[in-house]
Amino acid sequence: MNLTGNIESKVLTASLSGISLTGNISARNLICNVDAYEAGGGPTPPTYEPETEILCAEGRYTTAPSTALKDLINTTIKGLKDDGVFAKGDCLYFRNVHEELFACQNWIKNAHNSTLVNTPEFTPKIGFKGNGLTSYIDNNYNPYSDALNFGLNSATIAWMCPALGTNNERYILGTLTGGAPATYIIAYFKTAANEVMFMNEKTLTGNNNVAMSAGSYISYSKINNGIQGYLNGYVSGGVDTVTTADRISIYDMFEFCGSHNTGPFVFYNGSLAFSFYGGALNDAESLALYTRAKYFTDNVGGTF
Amino acid sequence: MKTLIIPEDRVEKLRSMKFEKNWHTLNPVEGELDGKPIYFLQAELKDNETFNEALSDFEVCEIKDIEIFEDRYYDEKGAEISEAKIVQDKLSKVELVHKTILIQSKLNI
Repeated sequence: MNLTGNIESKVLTASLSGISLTGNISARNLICNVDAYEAGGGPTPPTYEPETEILCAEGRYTTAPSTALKDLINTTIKGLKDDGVFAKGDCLYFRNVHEELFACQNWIKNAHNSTLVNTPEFTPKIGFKGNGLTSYIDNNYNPYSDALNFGLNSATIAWMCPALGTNNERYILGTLTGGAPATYIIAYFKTAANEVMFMNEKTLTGNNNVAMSAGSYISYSKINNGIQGYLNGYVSGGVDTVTTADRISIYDMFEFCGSHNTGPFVFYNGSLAFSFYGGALNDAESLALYTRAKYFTDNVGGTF
Repeated sequence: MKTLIIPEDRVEKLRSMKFEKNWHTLNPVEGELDGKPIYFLQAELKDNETFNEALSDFEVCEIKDIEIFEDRYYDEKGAEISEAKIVQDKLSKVELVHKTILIQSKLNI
């Protein structure tokens, strides 16, 4: 055991086999804080990824995330970085955290944090729910002007819906304001046909829309003119082909968005727990994103 | 559903308002009621702690009980297009004009 100290500064420190002690001398009493770690856990306190620290910084929450939640966030971010997914993202939102403000934060960087319009309903551990009428989320992310990775010929959108909506013909993710050029990025959900689709342009060939159900995770990746859908991380259906000229939306990305034509008007009324916008993910990266999102969703409940 | 009818001249003021929870905003939705263009919000927002002060200023607001919110689509010439046809055409082969038609509950008329 080593004990070092400086009486004048009234600070003593000691360490013993991975147990750290620090103390201040005050009125002849030595008050120690013991940070004891599990055997084999190592003597050093946990270090977080820089992105975790930026995300969990003051001002980005009302109530600070618990240590357990921060640890889970860090595990997720580190994993996504190792997977090569994080670097391809422009926006990553986990809505299923402990409070509204923190649920609005972009994990990739401190920009394009979401604005809640007309109060989508928030439930901790679940996410936001649209009211099918007036509520939506503005991500303050304009693919035309803000994208670093999302591109005309390389794009992915992904989302997870804990609960589906009841109204037909609604759009989950996309840009809302219409007129030409209108929206060329959209995830669309139609209850009756149980279909969704991703469009980065006005027209697709084929009919390989991914069937969605409550709790499912969907993503679409576009590389050049081909768009591949994924369900729960795995390829679903064939590649749809864009048949007309590409353009990127010049409007903010919305969740529970209304229409890609004109609007605003009536919105989607399901739930959203997670969403991602970035450059095209390949099959392995798409599976990795799903796996990380699922792990976070499955484990966030125990962190607060 | 109880719906707050927002006068058109107040819409921009509402949209530009800042709230204590500054990640929240209000954005009245455009629709049509009895053939007249209107803007509306869900009436529950009047009781929301973030918005109640802002909306309490809107003494002239009417509350209507809306039974149906109906989407209608029109082509460039004003002819109505069915939603089935829009879906069949992959949504956007045509630039559509959209209207949300509000139909009041019979008890309210």
